[in-house]
Amino acid sequence: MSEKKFIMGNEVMGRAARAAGAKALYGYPITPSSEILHFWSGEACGEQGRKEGLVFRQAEDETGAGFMLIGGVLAGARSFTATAGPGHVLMQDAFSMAEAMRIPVVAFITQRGGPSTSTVIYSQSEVNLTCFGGNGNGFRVVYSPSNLQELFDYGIKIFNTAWKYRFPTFLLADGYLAKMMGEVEVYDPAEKGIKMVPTEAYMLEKDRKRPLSEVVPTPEIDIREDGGRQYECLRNCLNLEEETYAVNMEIKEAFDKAAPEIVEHEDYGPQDAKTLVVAHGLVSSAVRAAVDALAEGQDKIRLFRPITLRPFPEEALRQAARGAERIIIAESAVNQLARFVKESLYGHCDTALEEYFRPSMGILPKEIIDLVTKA
Amino acid sequence: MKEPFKIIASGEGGQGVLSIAKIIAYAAWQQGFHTIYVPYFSTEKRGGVSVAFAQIWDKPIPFPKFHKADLWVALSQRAVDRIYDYLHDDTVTIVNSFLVKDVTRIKKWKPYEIDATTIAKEQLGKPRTFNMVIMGAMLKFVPGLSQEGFAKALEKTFKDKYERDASLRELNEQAFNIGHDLVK
Repeated sequence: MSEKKFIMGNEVMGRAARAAGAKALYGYPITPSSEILHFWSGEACGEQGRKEGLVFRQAEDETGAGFMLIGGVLAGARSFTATAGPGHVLMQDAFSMAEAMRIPVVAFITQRGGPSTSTVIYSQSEVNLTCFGGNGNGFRVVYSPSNLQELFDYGIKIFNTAWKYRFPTFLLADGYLAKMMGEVEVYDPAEKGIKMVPTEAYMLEKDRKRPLSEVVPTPEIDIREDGGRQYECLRNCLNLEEETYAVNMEIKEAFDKAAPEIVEHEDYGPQDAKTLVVAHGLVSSAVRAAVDALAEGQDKIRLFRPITLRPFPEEALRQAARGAERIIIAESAVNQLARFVKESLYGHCDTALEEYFRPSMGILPKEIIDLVTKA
Repeated sequence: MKEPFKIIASGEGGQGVLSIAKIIAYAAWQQGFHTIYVPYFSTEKRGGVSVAFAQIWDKPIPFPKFHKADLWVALSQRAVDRIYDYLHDDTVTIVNSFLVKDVTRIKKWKPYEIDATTIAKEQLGKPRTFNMVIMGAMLKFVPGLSQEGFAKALEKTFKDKYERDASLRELNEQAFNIGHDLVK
């Protein structure tokens, strides 16, 4: 039943996974994401969790956890992990494999300061890593929630996106969102008419509703026969450049096809504002407040916020940028969101882009207001 | 309210400063406000200055951190020395004077110096109640928050503890009232 609670962001994400019907968490604790694991271990050890067969596994490290997660998905369990910073770096090996084989792993990322161990608090500097980590081409889905409620809403949604489109899917939060407490409405997705996309084993079962050939790139499936039975073997180690090329192009084709259905953005504020501010995640909440504060005066601004960073809402941004006399990119990192903006607007927009980069620092509404009014 | 009301509780790790901010935020939420609480957290578990941020508003709160507090509480000397940067001209400041001996740095804010530790030990016979004394004092300055509403929030927060030991409820009430009355 729907209920309003006063809880911490990490618990919100744990509850979202539970509401989505997730069965297994494989992970290794790291600040600021650890309470997601605490919450899940509590659920898994509880009476109800035992009855349902919930799985909680703490691996020896994040590399192990990442591959265990792949194992859970291959067995058909709605599985996820949670990590941050250096742990997130370690998990890229497994995430690359998931990207290569279209394995719908789900991960909650709570960005902390970087580079390296750095601070355990806050930044937006895991955008590159989440979107493009590993040695692939970034065929992943990445959502960037801007408040506690969205941690829950999108925390459910990522499981459906992952299993419907079969791409690694991420909820990219940050240390403040993870650790802050506030009001959240938690609910059973069915109450809101949200149907959970069914999961299915990649291995172990013969009859699949969705044949693997529809999902896994052709060169990675090897069909063998033994004693009159057919076995589908998966491989991510390829012999030929041509095979690798085929794998990449098949993934690209699938991603390009799915992208228009997945992509999401928020366009907030007066459409006649001359200044467009591009921000994502928690920073966009601050910009939203600045939009409200400036709504009545001469210095009206409009917020463009990508909700999905991958795929990026390129076309929507181009439209929003049309007619803007100033475009400001605000992020708690250096050139990570801005890179997407530049790529999207290249050749489509003559307005100079202003950068407001504050790596690891929060961005408050007043800073945005000052940027606009004191220029 | 034009702006969110901003609170900082600071002290040593283990003193319960996070709980102070969390309980006040929770109480305000129970009374229908939008509230956000966020702890400052670092790699150390003990021996560090502990800081918590809480905001209360009648609208959704745009960002969990802030630069200047409206109500600022310091429970240790180090907290005074390190966290005073978060004060604006009109910040209300409260210190536990048993642990904060030197208020020179924050003199111009005319801090309320409350010897919560001695009160807790001598008047209440339970040193841990010093936080409740401090919260009693703090509540005088939080706009829109009623004492009854705060008591209700305490009931929920300490449900398990009160069930185990009902005398704790009365003790907390006493501590709260002492703190509340000390601020004129």
